[in-house]
Amino acid sequence: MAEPELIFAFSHDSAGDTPWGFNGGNEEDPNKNGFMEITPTTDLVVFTGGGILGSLPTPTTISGHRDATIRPAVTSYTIPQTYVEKDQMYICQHTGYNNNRYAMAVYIKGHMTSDLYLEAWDDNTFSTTNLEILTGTPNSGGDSLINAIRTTYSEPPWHPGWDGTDDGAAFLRGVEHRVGLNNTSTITDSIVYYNIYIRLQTDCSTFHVTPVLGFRYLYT
Amino acid sequence: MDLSTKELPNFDRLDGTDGTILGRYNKVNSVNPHKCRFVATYPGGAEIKGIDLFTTGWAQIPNGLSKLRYELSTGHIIEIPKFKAYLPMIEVSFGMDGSKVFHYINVNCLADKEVIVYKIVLRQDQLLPQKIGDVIMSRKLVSTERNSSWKYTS
Repeated sequence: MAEPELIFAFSHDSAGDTPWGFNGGNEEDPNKNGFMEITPTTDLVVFTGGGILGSLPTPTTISGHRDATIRPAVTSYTIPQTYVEKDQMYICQHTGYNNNRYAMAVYIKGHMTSDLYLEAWDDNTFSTTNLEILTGTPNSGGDSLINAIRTTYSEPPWHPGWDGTDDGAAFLRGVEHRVGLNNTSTITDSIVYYNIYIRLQTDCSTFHVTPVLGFRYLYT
Repeated sequence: MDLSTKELPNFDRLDGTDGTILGRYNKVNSVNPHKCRFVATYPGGAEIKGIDLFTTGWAQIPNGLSKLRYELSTGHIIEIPKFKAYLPMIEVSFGMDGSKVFHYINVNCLADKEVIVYKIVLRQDQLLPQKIGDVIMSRKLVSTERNSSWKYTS
């Protein structure tokens, strides 16, 4: 066999929280049903908004547009907007501290002999987790600030919001705190979904960081 | 995007022997995954060689092998003892920036009542004690799930 192919996408559809419906056909366009493909080598996932400008324009804004977010003084604060930066920035309509299921998606074309694990690292050596966003702070209880949850088979819990402690969720940090996106020992020609957000704490420093979201898997 | 294009944009250096990835806090040395492969030996001495770590070629080899070894780009040769069957699993990370690191080849070896795993290390850094070519042994129960990729020995 050979290494499976991964195709990444996000929901840019303001109409509703609906499935991607991509089947992995050779001639099939991944840009369908409100989803847009993410090209890893050129596109950038950006968490921003909530600062001086309040929020950035939607559904798109110019490439390079960022808004300084808040370091909260009283209580924790969720970075409110997620974009994918291409020729311009496209809002991810359904990511965040909500109960949306079809926010981010990965199509696995081929066969994995493991689950597909979503992880977060300092950089693309996939070897260290020293950034404050990954180590967390005393007020985060030492948990990473990146919350992610598997939504492949159901929407996130709502009580009133999910975080890294929920079933199928993690405060992403290396291999110790990661999310299996299908919760199975093999995956073949399937779509998996996840949701993700970043929660800042009152004792955070003011940082601008670029951790790497990574996907780990096995194949034969 | 076809991730099987075999590109390694996060490697700062890559030659026929190995490669280097420089990080904020660590430096990783890796095998050259284009030049690592399995070699299956059959009764009579015939050999079938794999392709690389991207397109392994494992699915194309027949059952009946008598020996299995892995040849790494660094010159390490890992001979796997004879078992009833083999199932190698390559462990890789793919980053949302297009990066890729190959961590291990997990060679599952079927014994009478258990599976012995030979975990062959493909990368080393300044933090972990593991070095390229090391083999980490472990055991696990025989899975009840069928996997057609097992290759049985003669």
